[in-house]
Amino acid sequence: MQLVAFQVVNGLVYGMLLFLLAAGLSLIFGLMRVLNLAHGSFYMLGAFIGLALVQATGNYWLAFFVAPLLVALLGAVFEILFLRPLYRREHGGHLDQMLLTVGFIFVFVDVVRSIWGGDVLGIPTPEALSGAVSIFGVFLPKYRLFIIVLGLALAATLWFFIEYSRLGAMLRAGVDDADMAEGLGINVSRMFTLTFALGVGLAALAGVSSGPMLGVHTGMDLEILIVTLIVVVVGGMGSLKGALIASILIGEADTFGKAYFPEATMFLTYLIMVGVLLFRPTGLFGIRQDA
Amino acid sequence: MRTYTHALWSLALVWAVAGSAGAADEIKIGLLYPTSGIYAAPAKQGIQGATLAFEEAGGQVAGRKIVTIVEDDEAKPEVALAKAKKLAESDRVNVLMGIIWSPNAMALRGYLSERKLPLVISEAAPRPITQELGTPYIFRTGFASGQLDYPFGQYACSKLGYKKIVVIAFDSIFGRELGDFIDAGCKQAGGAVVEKIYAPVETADFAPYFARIQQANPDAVWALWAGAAALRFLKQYDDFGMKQKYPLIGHGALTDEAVINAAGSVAQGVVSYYNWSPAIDTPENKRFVEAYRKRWGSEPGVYSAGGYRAASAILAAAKAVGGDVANTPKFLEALKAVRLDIPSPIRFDAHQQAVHSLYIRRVQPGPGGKLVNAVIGEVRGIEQYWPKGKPAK
Amino acid sequence: MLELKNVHAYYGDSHVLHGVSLCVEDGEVVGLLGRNGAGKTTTLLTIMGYVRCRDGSIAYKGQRLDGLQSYLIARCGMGFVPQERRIFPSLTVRENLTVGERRAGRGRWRLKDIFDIFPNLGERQKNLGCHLSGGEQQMLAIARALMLDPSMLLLDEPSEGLAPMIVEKIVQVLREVKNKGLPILLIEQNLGTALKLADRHYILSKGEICYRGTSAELEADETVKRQYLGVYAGEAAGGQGQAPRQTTV
Ligand SMILES: Nc1ncnc2c1ncn2[C@@H]1O[C@H](COP(=O)(O)OP(=O)(O)OP(=O)(O)O)[C@@H](O)[C@H]1O
Ligand SMILES: [Mg+2]
Repeated sequence: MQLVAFQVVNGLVYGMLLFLLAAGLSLIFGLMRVLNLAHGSFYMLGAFIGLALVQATGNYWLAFFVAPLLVALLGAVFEILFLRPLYRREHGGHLDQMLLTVGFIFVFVDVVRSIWGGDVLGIPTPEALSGAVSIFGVFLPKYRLFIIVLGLALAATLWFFIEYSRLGAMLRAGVDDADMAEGLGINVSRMFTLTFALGVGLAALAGVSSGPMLGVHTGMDLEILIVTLIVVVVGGMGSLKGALIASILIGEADTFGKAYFPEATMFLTYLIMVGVLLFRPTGLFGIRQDA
Repeated sequence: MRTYTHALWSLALVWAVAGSAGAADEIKIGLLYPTSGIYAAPAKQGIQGATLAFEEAGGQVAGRKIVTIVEDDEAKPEVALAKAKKLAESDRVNVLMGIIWSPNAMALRGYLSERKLPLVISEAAPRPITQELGTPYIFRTGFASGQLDYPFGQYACSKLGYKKIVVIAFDSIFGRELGDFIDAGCKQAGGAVVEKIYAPVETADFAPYFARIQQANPDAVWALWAGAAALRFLKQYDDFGMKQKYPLIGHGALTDEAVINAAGSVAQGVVSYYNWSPAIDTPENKRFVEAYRKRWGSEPGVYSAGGYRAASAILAAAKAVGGDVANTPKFLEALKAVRLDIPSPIRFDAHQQAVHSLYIRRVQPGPGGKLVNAVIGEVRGIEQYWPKGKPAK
Repeated sequence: MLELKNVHAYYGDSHVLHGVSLCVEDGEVVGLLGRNGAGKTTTLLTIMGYVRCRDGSIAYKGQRLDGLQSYLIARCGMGFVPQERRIFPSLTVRENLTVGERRAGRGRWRLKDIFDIFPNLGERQKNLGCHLSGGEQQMLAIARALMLDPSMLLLDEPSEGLAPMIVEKIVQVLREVKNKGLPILLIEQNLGTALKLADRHYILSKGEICYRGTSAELEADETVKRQYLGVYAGEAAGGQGQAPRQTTV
């Protein structure tokens, strides 16, 4: 029983990390119809920039807040410089955008490798969160509990922002029908930039906060990208609720799979994906097929 | 398009001719290492170790200049084969060395025999390559899988007193074999491996596996992880408070110097074994460690020693044949006779596999407070381990 | 006020508008009529900047609209009600109304006024856009445009596919809007509706303006009605409710 509780918590930790990535990826896709395959790279950038900030200042919390902001800024510039010129292409340039983001996977990994090298580096766990606590006899690192709280708090914040703020309504309007939103005077291209920045900022936050747990290295971008894509497909493109539920689902499946069917962990994950796609082709909470 | 192809062919021809002309007075050595990906750090150590050996020789043997060419095998067999072909056919190297990723060694075997190109493996440990699948062209200065693990299994049970062990290793032929060897060694000494966990080599989060360890409640956990994964494993093992409950022992890669330096206190107390440690207290080893430190400004790791050892073997054989490495049969004969003392003693057995010493090490602060693999035990003359018994020769 | 001069527009290579010129003056309701596929919607989409005006010019209150992005054209005061209504399905009725509002509480129509005009929108303000009936969607589309506090309305077939009672309601609302002095460019296939609302009319055929005249003139001109609108003497005015066609922008 304790072991099950232990695994549930571990699955939740992984799920929360996935959520931070999937939420951004899903928002970006929902609004912009851009499948940002460089999403994992922004996660990696968040981790490395966070690491650099920790090394420079010795202050984890500074890195925790500043690294995502810097990456969000970078994302905004990226969107304006590289994605925006493609929207006017035939079919919205979706294929071109996808290829572009694939290209940037390599660019980012090379940049990171040339600055930090290929070694695995670690971000030290912040003082206040190091060590473990025992809850009902289950031994859990404080930092992991923090990740759960962080993930849930961000999920709530994002949900509130999207469902109840005016900007959130504009975002949803853009997701529903970007052209019509524009026809109501909404500056959709600015929304695109903001959404992209927000999305990759969340990925970077996942990166910097995974650092003390999982380490920081140049392969982390692709490791997370594939699972994130599965989460988004399972949850439904463009749905925050879907991203949250699918993240937890995949996080738990992965964790329990590793413990009890170690040979078939990935298989379990794919099984969920195939199962969901068979019965709900648009994912658990996907509202519409992509045009 | 056609003229373009023609031009390319003529260029290749010119290149080939020029290449073979150069081969007459140079000793060309190809270094195959996974310089990108999760083995980038070990690869760097290996190359630095080898480079140190070549530099100590003055960059020449018997007046012939040593030329090294490094290629990235990306820890992928097909890449390794392509890069080996490139090194052999367009760079015209006389001998290859390196290789960390085991399947890569197997992938090259056929090609090397066909091409009659010698290879000195510094790390990759697939057993058959110096046993039932041995070829005259492949030597190994590193250990064969099982060579150190079987005796360590015995040691853990009999000397360290761990009768119930859980194995956690990355899922590969190598990892699974080693798990079995530890098991075999334990059994021989009256203990047992009660659970074997094989997780993907790119595992980022070990927490799910900790539940199974807790369930098995062993005397100790034996782990095999390298590079990135080792760092994460040590950190998470400590984060979850596992280290206090289940002492951690493991393969030397787990406490590689680069890893423990990055990991810090979370690695403290881990007991590992290898054919070397920078903390071995002999004049030969101290000389090597000093020279490495001076040359590279960093501490040598096991892969540094591995690279140094493979390069030294090549140098010794090249010297024995007066620099005539192009005469492959003579060069191979010379290799067989090589004995090295630096950084630790090795010689080749009849199957071209090095006979090593086994060092039991514990991670603890060394002089100056830095963590080192302090040697707490040594077993000499460890031959490669043949689970099915050596064939009658 | 709004003036199109010799506007040419294309979908890919297909040339759809061949030099359309028209104008809407202050306080005026202008009908834009024509058969299916004549280019009426395209004209509106070109004004809104969704379809590029490749030649000619579009000016509004002395400012060039052609070349501007759609959201800037909307901010110039265009209240756009598209043919397919295009209600945001995942927004509530209330959110549909307020999402584009730029001068909250200061415009001529506030939420309260809208709910006075369309009481059933008020009742359903918490419902999602996708749960509305066709008539409610049309009302919401018009209301949404009014909430922008526009200085001109662009309406694309507001009566299309709706029950006569609802058409009547919409005509009544548009009359009120007109009485407030808001100019309207009204696309209609239903001649009766157009005649009830508009002061002047243009008829489009194959992307060209082929007729212009006041309501009285048009009503009297049987030839034009028959030739360009398919209306025969004695038949109740036009609009055979054809299935709405998706116009992708
Ligand atoms: N997205 C599009 N791509 C290509 N051609 C189009 C597109 N939309 C419309 N057309 C064509 O352009 C012409 C004008 O279409 P438009 O929609 O402007 O007509 P309309 O007068 O509004 O007709 P309706 O009364 O059916 O709404 C038609 O021939 C139509 O087939
Ligand atoms: Mg139309």
